Amino acid sequence: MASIASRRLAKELSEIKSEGCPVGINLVKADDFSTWWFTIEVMGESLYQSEVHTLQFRFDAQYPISSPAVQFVVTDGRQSPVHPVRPSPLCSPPDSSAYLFAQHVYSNGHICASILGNEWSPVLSVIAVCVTLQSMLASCKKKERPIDNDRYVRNAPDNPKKTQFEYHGALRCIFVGVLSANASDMARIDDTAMQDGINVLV
Amino acid sequence: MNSNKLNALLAAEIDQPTDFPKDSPSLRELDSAVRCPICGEYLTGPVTVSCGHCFCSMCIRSTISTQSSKALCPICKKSINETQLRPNLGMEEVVTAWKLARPHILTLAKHEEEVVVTQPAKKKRKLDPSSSPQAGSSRTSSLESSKSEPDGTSSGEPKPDAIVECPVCTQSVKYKDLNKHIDNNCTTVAPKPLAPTSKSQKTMWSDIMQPKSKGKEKDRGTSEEDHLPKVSYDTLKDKQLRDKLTGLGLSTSGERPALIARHQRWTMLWNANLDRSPSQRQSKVELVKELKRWEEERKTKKKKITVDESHLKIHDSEFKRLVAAARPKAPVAASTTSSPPPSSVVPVDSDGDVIVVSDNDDP
Repeated sequence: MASIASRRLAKELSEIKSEGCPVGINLVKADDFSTWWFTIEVMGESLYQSEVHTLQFRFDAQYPISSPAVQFVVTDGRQSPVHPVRPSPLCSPPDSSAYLFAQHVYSNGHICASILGNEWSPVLSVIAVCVTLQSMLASCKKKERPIDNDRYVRNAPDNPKKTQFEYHGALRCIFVGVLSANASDMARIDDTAMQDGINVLV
Repeated sequence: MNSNKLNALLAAEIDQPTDFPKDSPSLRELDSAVRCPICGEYLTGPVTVSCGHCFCSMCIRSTISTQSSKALCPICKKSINETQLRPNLGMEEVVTAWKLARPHILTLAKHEEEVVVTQPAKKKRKLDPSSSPQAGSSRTSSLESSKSEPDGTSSGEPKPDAIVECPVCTQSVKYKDLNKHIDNNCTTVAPKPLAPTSKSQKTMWSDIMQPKSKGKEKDRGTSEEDHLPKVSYDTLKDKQLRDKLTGLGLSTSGERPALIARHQRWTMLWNANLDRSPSQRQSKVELVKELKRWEEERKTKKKKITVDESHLKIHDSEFKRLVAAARPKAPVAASTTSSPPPSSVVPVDSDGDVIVVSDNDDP
C-alpha cells in the first residue's frame, strides 16, 4: 500500500487511540490498514435507541484521495439498521411524505450517502464518516428499506463503491447501476429499475 | 480490539498534532495549521487554490486529477482550477521553521506539563500580576517603534554619501553625484575607464533592444524551470506519446495506458516539485526514482486483482447454468437485429465504415 495511505491511516488510528472516539462510536478492530470495524450507536432519543450497528471500512492505496468503501456489517448475527420492526412498510401504498426520510441503507448493508460517493473529500476522515452516518440514523423518522431495496440487493456488487447511486439531496437516493470492472463505462443493469424508482418517488 | 497488533501498526514514527499535551490546545492548533489537510503531513510545496485554502502541491494535484468533471476545493467545495495553483512560499518558510523548532517546543511543552502537575498554584500566582504590566509596556514600546520607524527607513532616499548603482550604466556612484553622472553620459565619476564605458554603452543599447527576445529564448531553452502543460492524450498517437516521454528522458516501455499514466504522473511530480522554493526542490534523478517506485506499486496492486480460481470453482455450476440460460436468447436477439431494413440503406457508422451484421450465430 502506498505509504501516504498507510501513514494517514496510522495518524487517524493513533489519534483514535490517544483521544478516543466521539460518544457512541467505538473501534472494534483495526488489525491492518485495509479493513477497520467500528460500532455505532445513536445517542439520545431516536428510532435506533439502544441498537448497536457495526460499520466496516475498507481502504485502498489511493486513500484519502479516493473514498473508503463503507458498509454496515450484516453477517455474524449483526444487522444493518433500518430493519423494519413492524410488517414491512413497503407493502403500504406509496405516499410521498412517507418516503422522504433516510431510506439510505440497503438490507445488504450498503449505504447510499453522497459523502461516500461523489461528495467524498480527502479532508474527511474515518471518524468524520462515522459521525455523519450516526447523525443520518439519528435524524431518521421512519424505519424502512429503500424503495428499490430488493432489486438492488439482487444485483449489488461486493464493493459498494462500484455502485452508481443517484443522490437527491440529503433525503433520498436511487440506485442507478453498477460500474463495470474497468470502471470507465457504466453498465446499466436495468433501465426500468430507475424508471420504477422515479415513478414511485414522484 | 487486539491491542498488540494495533501497537505494532502504530510503531512507525508518526508525528501529529496530538503529540502535544491536551492542555496546550494552541500548540496542537499551530501544529495542525502547517499540515496538509489531505495527507496530514507537513505541507510540502504548499500551494494556495483560488478560494485561499492551502494544500501540498502533489496532494491537490492528484485530487484534481481524480475529480472527473469539475475540480472542487476539498474543504469548501468551491470550484478550483489546476492552472490557478499558486506556490505559497511564505507558508513553506513557516513549515521549515516549525519543523526545526518543533522538537524543542515539544520537550518544553511536556516539561511544562510536568511542572504544572507538581506545582499548579504557584505558577498561576506568578503569572497573574506580572503579565498585565508587561502587556502594557510592550504595547507602548510597539507604538514607539512604529512611530520611529517611518523616520528612519520609510523615506526611500539613500544618504548623499551612500554608494548606489547608476540605473543607466550600472556603475557604482555616490548618491549625491548620481545626477551629475547621468547628465555627463555616465562619465564623470569614472573618468579612467572611458573606453570601457563606451563599450558598455553599446552593450547597454543592445540590452535595451534585445533583452526581451533574449529572455524569451532563454526561457524556451531552459525548460528546466517550466511547468509542464496538460496534455489531451486522446489526440496523441502512440508514437507522439513515446516521443514526448523520450523528450522528458523517461522510459517508453509498456502499453498505451501505462505510457499515459506515466506521463500524467510525471507531469504531476514535475509541477509539484516546481511549486517548492528552489532550495527545497528535488533533483530530476530523485523524481525519476519516485516515478519508478510509484509504477512498481501500481504493478503489485494490479497483480492482486486477479480472478480468484477457487471462486470460479465453487460457483462453476451456477456459472454454467447462467450461461445455458442466456444462450437461447442470443439467436432471437440476433434475428431481430439482422432483419433486413425495408429500403436498401446500408447502415454506416460514424467512421464511415459499413456495419456488417453477421448471421453466423444463427443455428
